[in-house]
Amino acid sequence: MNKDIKNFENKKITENYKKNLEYFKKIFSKDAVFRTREIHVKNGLNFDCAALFIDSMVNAEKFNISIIRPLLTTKVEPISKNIATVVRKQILFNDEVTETNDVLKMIQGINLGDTVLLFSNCSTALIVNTKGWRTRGISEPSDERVQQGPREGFDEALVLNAAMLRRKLSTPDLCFERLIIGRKTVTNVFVCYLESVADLKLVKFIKQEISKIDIDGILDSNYINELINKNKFSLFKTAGSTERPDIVAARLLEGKVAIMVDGTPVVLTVPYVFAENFQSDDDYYLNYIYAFFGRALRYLCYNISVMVPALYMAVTLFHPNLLPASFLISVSASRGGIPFPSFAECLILILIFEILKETGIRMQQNVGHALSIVGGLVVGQAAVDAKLVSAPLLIVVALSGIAGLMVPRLKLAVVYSKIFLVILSSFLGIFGFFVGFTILHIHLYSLNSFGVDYVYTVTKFTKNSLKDTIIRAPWWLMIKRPFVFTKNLIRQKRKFYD
Amino acid sequence: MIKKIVFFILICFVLMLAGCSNSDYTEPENRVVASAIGVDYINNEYNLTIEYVKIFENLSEDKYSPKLIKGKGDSINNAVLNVLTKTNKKISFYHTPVIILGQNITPEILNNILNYCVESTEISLSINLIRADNAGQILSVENEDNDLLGYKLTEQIKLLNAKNSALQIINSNNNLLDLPKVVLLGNTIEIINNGEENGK
Repeated sequence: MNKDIKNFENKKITENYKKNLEYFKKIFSKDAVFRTREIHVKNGLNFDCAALFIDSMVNAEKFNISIIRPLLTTKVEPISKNIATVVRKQILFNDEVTETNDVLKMIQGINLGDTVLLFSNCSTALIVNTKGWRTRGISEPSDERVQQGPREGFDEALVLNAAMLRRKLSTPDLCFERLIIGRKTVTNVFVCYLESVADLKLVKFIKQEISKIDIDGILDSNYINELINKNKFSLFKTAGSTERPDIVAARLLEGKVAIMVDGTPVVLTVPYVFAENFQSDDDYYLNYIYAFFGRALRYLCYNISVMVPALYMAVTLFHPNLLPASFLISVSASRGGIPFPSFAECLILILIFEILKETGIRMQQNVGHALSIVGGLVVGQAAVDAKLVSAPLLIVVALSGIAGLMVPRLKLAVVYSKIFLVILSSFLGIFGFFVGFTILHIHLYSLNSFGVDYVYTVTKFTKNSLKDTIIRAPWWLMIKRPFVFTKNLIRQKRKFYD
Repeated sequence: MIKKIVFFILICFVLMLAGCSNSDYTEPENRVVASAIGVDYINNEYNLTIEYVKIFENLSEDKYSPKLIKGKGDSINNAVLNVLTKTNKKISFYHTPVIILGQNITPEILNNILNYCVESTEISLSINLIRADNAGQILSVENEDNDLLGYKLTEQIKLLNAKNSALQIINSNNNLLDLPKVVLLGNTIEIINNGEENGK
């Protein structure tokens, strides 16, 4: 039997109870956790019923109380000849009961933790909500901690995530449009937006693009990002991702669109512009004066991280006249006896730093101290003493690496840009550095995230767009929404001087 | 439109900086910094004495000490080339603070030296010029502190407020007598201003 989900499209159940039951048993024949519970009901009516469900995906208490007990105990005067309708309207104690004859919907329901009820002499069945699978629970996302402000993060369950977002935006204007993708995973995806704020053409475009996806499995929102994003070869992120409902709500309020995927806490938001890489939740929850400093520091650190190793290479190898004599002597002294050329030394150090960083992310927490010792002592002091690397370059690469951590959303772009500039600067000096700088900027200016210029704050410069880029203006000054995302610009009606 | 302007500015940057592209790739450990240049003119030859910073690799307390290298040539260019062939390292004149003009330096010889300074991309025109009876001898004096004589002399010259940079000398028509003079008193070196010398 070909169990591809597309084969069940337009398949209907028949009135033959035994045949229907056998059909479902055959579909789930190799599923050890598939269960059937057959009962005979004699409460004014006289019919056979089979409950089909998957073990541990249903809440057993809910199943017993809302399905089995009312079926066996409730006596009714039937209002219809259709048993499924009678059971749905007069017997079951459940919040969500759907009557259908569509086999595909029933299979999807069973796989999601619902119970399907088949009845004798009835060509329709009921899908009853008995979902009871466990979830991780609400916790603060480890990558997006804040000093002050909401601490909840999304979970893996899509409906719970939608509920968390609904709590932030309690308006019927908030829309969740459901799409199902993934031939094997049959993943639910919500396209979420505020109807009066978002650009509906963009919403339509996103829905079309997601519908075109034909893949066997979607396990995370990044699958969708890579499949629908037009900037397939860019270093820079052109779709935002977050695990925080407050960030998603803030972005929806700006007119953006969120894509929520079942099974992952990471929600995509589009369009996504360059300035967003430097925004942090703390910027909005702390006083704007602190926020200004933090954000300016992030821009500075990004530039330090990308440019400083390349400039160091260019100056020490090609333009020593730009350095003070004492520093030049110190660099020469530290390089004495090192077997590698400066270029190789720099690349090796960048590589070691990235290895340490990746190890730090993926290792168990209790190995942290060991890594600090290895990273700090072995790679640091011992490598300098052993004359494998020079101390000034070690400081430069470490400074660049640490500064790069200030902008976690650009971590990949920072590493690649840094290596690109180091290579050019090591062979062409300052000229090479500026050639690389120009290429990077031309690339940056050519990017476009779902119809919006990636650096729109420069290409479509307005006074208003500056209010949430290098600085974070006080809330009483942010009267309008950014014009590139929405046509509904008014964020506040009361002016601060009223 | 703004995209085009930014593109134009960036391309201008690159084109303007094309002059910065040079093939002078030198690893830092293969470069030595010259801290003083001494020039004597003996028997129609330029005798160059260059003090440079010798760096020790063992990173002990004294990381560096002064070293001398000498060379001759019938022109200042040839003398410099002669010096450069005697070492396997690249001598960098970017940070050289002083030229000591020694025996038989006439205004014509000084003119040749200044021409070389102007044409060289490494020597700055703010380099200090001082006179001496014998530049090679001055640079050969051993000092107890192992100091770099070039930098020590420069600090002393600053105190005199003399107009002795290469550019100032060019502007004053190569007037040698305006320059301060470094003299050897036993084993110590002293700088005297031109007025003081005349007074003595």
